[in-house]
Amino acid sequence: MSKKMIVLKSSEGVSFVVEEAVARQSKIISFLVEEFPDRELPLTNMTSEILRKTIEYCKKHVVEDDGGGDSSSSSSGDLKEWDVKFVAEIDQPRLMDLLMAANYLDIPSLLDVTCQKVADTIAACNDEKEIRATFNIENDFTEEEVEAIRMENQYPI
Amino acid sequence: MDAFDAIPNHVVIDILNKVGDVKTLIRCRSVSKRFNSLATQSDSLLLQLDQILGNTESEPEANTPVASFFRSFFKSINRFLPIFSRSAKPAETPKTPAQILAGFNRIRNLDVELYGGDANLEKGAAVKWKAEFGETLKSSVIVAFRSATVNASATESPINAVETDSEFVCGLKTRVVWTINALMAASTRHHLMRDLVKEHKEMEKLTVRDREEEGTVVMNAAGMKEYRETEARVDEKGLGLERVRERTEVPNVRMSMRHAPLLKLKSGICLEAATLVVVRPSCVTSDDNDAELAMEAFAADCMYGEAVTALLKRRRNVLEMNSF
Repeated sequence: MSKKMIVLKSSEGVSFVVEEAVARQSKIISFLVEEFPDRELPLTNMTSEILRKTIEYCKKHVVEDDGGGDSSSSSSGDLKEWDVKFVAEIDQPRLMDLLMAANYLDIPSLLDVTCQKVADTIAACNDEKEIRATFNIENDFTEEEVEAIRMENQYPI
Repeated sequence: MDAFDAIPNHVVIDILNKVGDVKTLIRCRSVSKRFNSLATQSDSLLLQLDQILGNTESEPEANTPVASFFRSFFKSINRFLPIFSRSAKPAETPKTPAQILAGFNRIRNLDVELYGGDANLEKGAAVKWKAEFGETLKSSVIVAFRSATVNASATESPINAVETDSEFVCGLKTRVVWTINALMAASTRHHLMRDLVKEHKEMEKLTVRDREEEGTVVMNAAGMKEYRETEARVDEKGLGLERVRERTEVPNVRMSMRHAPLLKLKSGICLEAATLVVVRPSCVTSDDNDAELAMEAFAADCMYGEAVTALLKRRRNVLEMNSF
């Protein structure tokens, strides 16, 4: 029995042919596939690079519905390890893109691991300046406001 | 471009929720206006406090009063308690937990982690406890042992030997000391959380642990409501000023004790003076579900869980203790 394939198109117009079961981990794609069967799905806000990463993640996490029991079914511990490695290899800007893709496509587990990575990155910063620098955030406080927040939030450690 | 510009608020809140640690979140508040407004919306927080609680159980003095406690057949417990609390330092903290969390108004789960653990009674003794509180103690489970050894020659020690009376009394003394210390530590922690409970009515669960996970105080939504209502009544009567207590008063309790002089676990580890104590206020009538309470408290813990299971099969001694 041949598996049903669907086509996803990135913002650059590159087509990716994916097994339906893999793509259906996205709740949005799952919905679109049912509404518009046999149609190419354009994902105009996702670059090929990010779409490829997303598909890589979905392929790893697809649940084999028939009890094939082949080598592709990983234990949950292995999968967690794989996830950690997966997000560790991505640089900061691409991680944010992947996070947005997970949010847009509604892939809860991918959103979870990317959010966790961002949270860990924030936690690893030594002060607010480092957080700003890491994420390229502009300081939009006046000096008085900064002082007010600092006064309010002295942490006793 | 700001890396968070395109990310919707609810996702940023999710991220900050995963951060959890209050110290980091407070740092996030100074990052930008947007972060300032979103950081306080986290609902799962971890608050680490660098504070050694009251230190009610620094130990050398404890033995004498406990001995007299036994001489007087459990009647004069109030007489020796001041000795315990004398060592409590009136250390002023720069900010109370309630002040630190003042900006956070959507807390559902709060984990408080205390850096300074509670001092051990004796060297080598391990005491683990869990306690649930409302306005005061609702229940507590204490598991303790003096030492753990890997016993290669198990046949050597007569594990089921009958204890002599003096051995029993001596052991009983130790068990009562362990229990009292656990209850003092628990009620000190409970008291420390008073303002926090009062001010954060939105909280659903509050857990107070120490870093070594020796003791855990838990309060659920109903328990915290009860605490708030009681405190409000006390404030109304204007009794607030009189109270300079360091901890919550423990009510009259019934201690349901089980022990084994030597408890051998499947792993080959032998626990000396293994003890399980289930504590409940005397006014609570049904006390037959020790097993349920004890298993629930230590189910997640492999070694302690096994010890609890084994100890539950032991004979039970019940002692009543006056409020302290």
